[in-house]
Amino acid sequence: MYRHLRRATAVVAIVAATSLGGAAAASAETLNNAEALPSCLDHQWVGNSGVINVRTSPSRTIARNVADNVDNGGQWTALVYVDDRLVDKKVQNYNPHGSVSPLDSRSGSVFRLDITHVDTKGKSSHSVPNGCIVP
Amino acid sequence: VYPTAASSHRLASALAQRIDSVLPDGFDSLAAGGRVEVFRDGLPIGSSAAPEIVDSAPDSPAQIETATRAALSSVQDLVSETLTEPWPEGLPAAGARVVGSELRLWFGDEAAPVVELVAISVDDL
Repeated sequence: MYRHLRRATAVVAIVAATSLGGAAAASAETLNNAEALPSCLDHQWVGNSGVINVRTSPSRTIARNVADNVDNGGQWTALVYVDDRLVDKKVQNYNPHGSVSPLDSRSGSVFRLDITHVDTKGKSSHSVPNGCIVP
Repeated sequence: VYPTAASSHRLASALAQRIDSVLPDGFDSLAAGGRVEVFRDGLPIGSSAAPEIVDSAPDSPAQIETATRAALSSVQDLVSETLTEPWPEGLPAAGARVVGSELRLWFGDEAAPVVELVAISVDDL
């Protein structure tokens, strides 16, 4: 039950073998069109090899979870941004999850994840362009 | 007085030391570079690289506070998931604030924390 409460389940989709440069360019374009971004209240991005979930609590804590469809082992690097400010970082050997304090996520700001995963067989994946508006 | 160039390694070291002193029995916390690693019965259960984000704005008190909150929150997740129960009890939010030359850190409400960790001198960061 704890995991369901704490781990939000909105993720950013993971796409296999997407170049970092391409993803960065797409993210910038997305951020320039913030009005078109979804709310972070409860959103999911689905890629061809994984999923990203984001959910915002009534207190405005933003929880996120990322999962690979096949292999959650290997090396994960997760960078978490709010309005392009880096607010969290994880480097670990299991799929990352976590939350951002409401003190670091004012209403109306853009929440974004940059995730890289190299699985146990060496396959590299990167998060699809993503971003959502903090409610 | 705020630090002019806080270091992720120094922040991780200070945080690991403070966190270690409040962890439940059987848990330990150590710094490894700019990360805080958590162990149970001597075995690693996870880590937070949040202290490394101060390197993106080393002269910013706000970034030190953000990195500290994120690290405390990650450790809280690791311990709670390992115990399969909220830790600290009630799962209070992690807090951090630079006041003067001190970085204060706690779980719960700032005015009445559930757990308060020993403050860190920002001059040591």
